[in-house]
Amino acid sequence: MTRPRDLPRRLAATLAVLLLCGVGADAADNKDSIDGRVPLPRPAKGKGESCIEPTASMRRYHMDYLAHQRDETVRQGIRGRKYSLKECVACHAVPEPGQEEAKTLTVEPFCGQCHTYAAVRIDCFECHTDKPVDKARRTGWQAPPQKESRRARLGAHLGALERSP
Amino acid sequence: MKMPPSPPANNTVDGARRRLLAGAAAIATLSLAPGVVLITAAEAKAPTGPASAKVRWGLLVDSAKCGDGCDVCVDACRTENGWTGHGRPRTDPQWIRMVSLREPAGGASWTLPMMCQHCRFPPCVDVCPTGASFRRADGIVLVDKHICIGCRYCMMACPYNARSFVHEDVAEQRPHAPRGKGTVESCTLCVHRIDAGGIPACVEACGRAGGGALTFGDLNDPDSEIARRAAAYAAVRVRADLGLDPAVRYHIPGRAAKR
Amino acid sequence: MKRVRFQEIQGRGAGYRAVLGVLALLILGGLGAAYYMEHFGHAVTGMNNRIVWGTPHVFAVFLIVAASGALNAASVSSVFGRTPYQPLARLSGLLAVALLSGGLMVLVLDLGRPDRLIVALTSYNFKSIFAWNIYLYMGFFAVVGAYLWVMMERRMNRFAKPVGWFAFLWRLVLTTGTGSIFGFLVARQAYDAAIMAPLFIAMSLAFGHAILILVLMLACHCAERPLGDALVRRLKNLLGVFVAAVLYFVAVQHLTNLYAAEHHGFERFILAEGGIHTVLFWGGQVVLGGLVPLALLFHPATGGRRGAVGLAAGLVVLGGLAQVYVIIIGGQAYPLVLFPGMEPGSGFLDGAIASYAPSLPELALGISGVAIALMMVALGVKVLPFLPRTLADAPAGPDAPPADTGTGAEAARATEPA
Repeated sequence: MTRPRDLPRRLAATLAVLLLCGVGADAADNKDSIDGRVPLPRPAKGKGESCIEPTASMRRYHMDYLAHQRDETVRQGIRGRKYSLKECVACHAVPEPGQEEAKTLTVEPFCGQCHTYAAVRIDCFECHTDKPVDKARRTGWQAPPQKESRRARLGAHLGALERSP
Repeated sequence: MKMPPSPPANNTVDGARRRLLAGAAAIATLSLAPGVVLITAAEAKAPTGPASAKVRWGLLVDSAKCGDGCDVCVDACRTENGWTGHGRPRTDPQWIRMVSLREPAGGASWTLPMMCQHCRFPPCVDVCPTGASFRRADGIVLVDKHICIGCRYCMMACPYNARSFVHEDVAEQRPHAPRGKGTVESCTLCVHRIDAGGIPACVEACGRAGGGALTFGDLNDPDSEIARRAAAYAAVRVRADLGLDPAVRYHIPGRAAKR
Repeated sequence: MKRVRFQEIQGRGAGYRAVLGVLALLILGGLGAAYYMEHFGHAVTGMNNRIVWGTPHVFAVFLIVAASGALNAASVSSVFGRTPYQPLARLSGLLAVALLSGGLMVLVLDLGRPDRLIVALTSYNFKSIFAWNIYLYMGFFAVVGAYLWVMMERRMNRFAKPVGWFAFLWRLVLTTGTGSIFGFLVARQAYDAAIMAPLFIAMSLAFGHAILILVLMLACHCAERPLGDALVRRLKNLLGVFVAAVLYFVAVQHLTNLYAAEHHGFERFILAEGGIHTVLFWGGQVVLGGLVPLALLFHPATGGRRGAVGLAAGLVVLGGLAQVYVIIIGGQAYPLVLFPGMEPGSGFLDGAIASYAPSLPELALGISGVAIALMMVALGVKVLPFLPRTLADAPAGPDAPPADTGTGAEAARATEPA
């Protein structure tokens, strides 16, 4: 049994071990994915020579650029200025991981890498399409199921509810 | 890219707008060139807006030309804005719907499309706690889904049942019409087309494949077709008793009873 | 002058823990239901584009309205100087805060985007009564919190009366705001009437007071604290007045509507042909929630019996839920009149009565609001001295003339448990 006065010491020791592990993890992350650890984000390069702002600024301030312009667009109808979520998607959409041959492109893996790493949840693509504009235009609007799994489950679920007495 | 001072930009857009509306030839051109082309052209040019209070966009519905069973406008809206149903009529979105009216005594009947009426004094905007429901300077009533919390008070307040709550996950949104679960949505008057100098998808489709029952334009411009026709018809404002001054007006002429 | 001594309850018995356990399960059920609704979307509920507010809102509005009424005992004591109510003032404040918390939780968890709640606190439209209510609700917590503090902190007792006044006025404004959520809806036949505000105030008095009676009886029974007959008699007489007031406002509301041909359709729906709504109106709201309690409270055969008073209070609560259901669901089920005098129709059920069936998750969420409120009370009376040691009738008799100050200040001087 641990005697009460040992407790603080044990806690301190545990804390120290945890801290060391944390430092170790930091060091390890300088390489790519070490098994089990969150891999460093490696977002693919977008189309064209460079982004509309230097990469460092984009990484730091993209949300501010977008949020500011979003209000102007929604509230005043100012469209076609420098920053645009549509243009982000147009340049940075990539095939779904593991489906490199698929024709549909999505920007979610590009955004998702850093956002998963930084644990910052975005909900842009709950409403906005994550697919490039041109693609949607060329193919016309069809409804190939993307978030289909949950929708399908909802359908099945509601069907079951209706059948149940 | 420099932003030109707003009045000239608006005048240009309005001018283009009026020219497009001027005659049947213009409508034919529009029907040949889908809205996406207009948008592309606009994107390549100067930024649009800001929306000007000098104009007030409106719609005139001539129910005499609105054929029984015709729902071209509804289909066009659905395709343009990407709101499809899932076979659950009570929870499916409904930006625009066909309403039939019957005179109880005579049996005369009409059909007409019902959608957001883009009121000058919109109750949905009054009641919205966060200001997500708002009225643009040019009279278009919209939902800013970025700050909509999904309380549905606007749906309680709307006299026209014009708003829908997104009851389930949405996929494959149109790029210009973001929509998502848990927020409220309604007719935007195809604001993305209007900003680019175009006309709403329903109006375009009705002119091409329907009865030509819809006229779009600037109610503030006495020379515009919509203003002239609205004046000539003494067009009806639905629930005029509420004094909301909707921008969608209806011409409901007498019609002989069927059978 | 009678000194009231307050004391925490023991709260160690198996019964107490069982109560907490059941409440915790109900709360978990509600949270699970909320997660389920957010995960799949509101398609899994009974709510739809015609009935946009459903069972969660019935519970939420009921609880919020009752919260304001639960403060009655405190107001009657501090503002109107009736000392017999003074021992109940603390419990009354606690119950008010608890009921409001439960109601707001239900309201918030039903939002389409509860994750954006912060937006409701940062982005305001000051023309919206909803936005005003956010201030009124938050303010209610602060005001009642301060009120409890000045009642419980001996050095602050002298402020009990002014703070009590402020709380009294605040709750009137708050319920006016809640009623006006409906009163300001210009478009709907069922609402759009100034009477919604006073009607809601009367409802708040009745519902909140009934809940206070039930909670008080239950707490005194479980904690084995005496509860005097004279006090129960006072409480029941007050409840009778409140129930009669609700019936009066309901009668005025419907008589006014019946006078106007414009509203005949809606009145026919609620009063005669509305199916479940008609049943709930007459059977639930008027008879079970109004006439039967009045009879139980004032009939010589039952009026003096504690069981009858408890039953009456319970019926007022059930009748209140029925009333809020008829107001919220019935008001939406009746179609909007777009073209008066015409017969409309569409795939969207224009012109038709909208149907609605409460779903299990909605019910679970609503009930969890009640459970939250009761949990807060159960924990509150354990950790702080909210309950008097005894509520037995004072030897001088409850009808003794009120003390000169009439506030809780004097009486609460010796309040710390020994």
